[in-house]
Amino acid sequence: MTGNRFLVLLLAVAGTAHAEVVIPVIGQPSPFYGAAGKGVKVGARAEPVELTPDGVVVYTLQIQNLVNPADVQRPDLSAIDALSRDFQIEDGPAPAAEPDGTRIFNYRLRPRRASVTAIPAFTFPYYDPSLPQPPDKPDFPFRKVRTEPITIRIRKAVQPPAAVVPLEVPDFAAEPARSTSAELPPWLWWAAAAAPPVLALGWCGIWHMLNPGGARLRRRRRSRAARAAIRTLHSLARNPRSDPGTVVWCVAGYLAERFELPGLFRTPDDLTRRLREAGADVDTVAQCEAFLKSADVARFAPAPERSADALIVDAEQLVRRLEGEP
Amino acid sequence: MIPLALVAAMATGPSPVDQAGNGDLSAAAESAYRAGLDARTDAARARPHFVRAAELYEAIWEQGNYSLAIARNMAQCRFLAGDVGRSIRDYRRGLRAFPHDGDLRVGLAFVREQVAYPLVGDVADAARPKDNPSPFDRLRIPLHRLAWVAIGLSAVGWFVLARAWFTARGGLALFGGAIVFAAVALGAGLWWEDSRQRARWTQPAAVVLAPGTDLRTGNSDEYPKRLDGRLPAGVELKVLGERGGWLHVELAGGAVGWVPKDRVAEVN
Repeated sequence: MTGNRFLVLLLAVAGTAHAEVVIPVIGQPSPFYGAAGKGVKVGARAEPVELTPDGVVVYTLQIQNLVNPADVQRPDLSAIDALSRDFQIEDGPAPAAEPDGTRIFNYRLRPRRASVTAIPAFTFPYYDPSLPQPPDKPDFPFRKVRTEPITIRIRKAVQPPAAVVPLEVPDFAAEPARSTSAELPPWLWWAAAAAPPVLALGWCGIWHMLNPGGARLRRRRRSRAARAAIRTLHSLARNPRSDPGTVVWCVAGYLAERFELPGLFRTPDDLTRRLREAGADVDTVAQCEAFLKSADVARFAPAPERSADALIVDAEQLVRRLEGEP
Repeated sequence: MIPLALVAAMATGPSPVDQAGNGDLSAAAESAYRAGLDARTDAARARPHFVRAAELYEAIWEQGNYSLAIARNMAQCRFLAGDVGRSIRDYRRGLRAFPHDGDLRVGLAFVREQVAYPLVGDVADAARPKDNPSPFDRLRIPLHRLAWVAIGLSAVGWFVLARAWFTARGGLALFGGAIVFAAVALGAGLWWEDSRQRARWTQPAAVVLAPGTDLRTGNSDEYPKRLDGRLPAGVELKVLGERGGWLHVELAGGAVGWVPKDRVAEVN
């Protein structure tokens, strides 16, 4: 009887002071926050539900119908994988006031990714003292209530305006390049390199033409004397009253220039001697001597057998033979 | 005759083509270049213009119009577009055609300085280009100007020789002969330098385009890396061969390995 009285007294005390609920250790779920009550309700709300990737949601858990609100521990949400996977979790501010039999817990949740779309459901275990605890099922009086998942939306971050960075342009690239003198056509290089020797050789050639050497000068003189003599003889041939003496003077002038004789001769013998001194060959000397003798005959004979015209022909033949013409 | 041979060497480069031959492309390229310059206060806005200009200049170049101005503009636009690898590739293309152009060399040296070589490590030693300057390089006088000097010396020498012949003066002939000899010697030196430069720029080469390219010991990603570090964009490579989409290459420092062909641009 004494024992029954004590139990009745204990229940009476428990009925007047809710906080004195004894929660059995056996059968407790993990985690367990020390809540006890009958018909415990848990609610969750989040504010705001639309946020930026770096925004924070204030998440509030409200637990009602507790018989021991003072003994209820703050649930550690960071120990719940479903929440800690998607959110960084910090404790929020304590509520200003809590109704009787109610606990309110605030958290600050920061989404870890922009792809997070909801705050998952939260399961809250509590002990219902009105339920029996059979030995074979010690967790029977431990019940669970769940919150509903809360959909959130994370807006794309607004890109900050890109900083305007000027482009550094080196001096050599400050203008489009244009063709330069370095792009000379190949033929110009060839011409420039070939020009000095070609010009020098050309200069030498021109100088040589303008300043002939001794042998060449003699040939030119001979040629010039022969042309002058033949021209004069043709002129005499056109004159019907030509003097044989003029023909002789023409030939003498030619011979003097042709063989570079010093002065004019006076007689055929004089000519022969001078030609030999000038180095003329025997045949040439003989031809000249023969012509002069025939000219003397034509000039001085009382009744000349040869006319002046025949003498002119002989003179021209002599000049041409001496110039090597057939 | 050496001066003539020198000229032959200098003349073997591609003949300049008047840009007017590609009037539309050329005008569009220059217009894009100028648009980029006008927008230079904002690099993000300017760069697309330079990309466009570079593509147009490259189109002109690839049609066979090997102009010095096009080579310079092509490389400059690539650099201004922020593409260091292709800029080096295009400068080398230009130098392959015009190995003595001073502006191309200055531009290449400038862009090479922009390559992000690591300061330490094996890549820092192996990848940085090493140039062995010749006496002509040290003179820093463009080769074509020296060629004109040689031609001028030759002209003076031949003039003196001709005067010596007119006046039959042996001393003058010796003097003229010495000048011609000097011209011939200078021409021979220029010939040698020209050959050296052509060989330098015409060897098969490639430039790394993608930063972080590995040099491997074989032609597959499964082969180990030859160097610990990765090659930055703009590293110049001597091409030794090719197999299965990979290039067998040698770095300036002598390291030999393989790189994927799609991560480099060949200088062709």
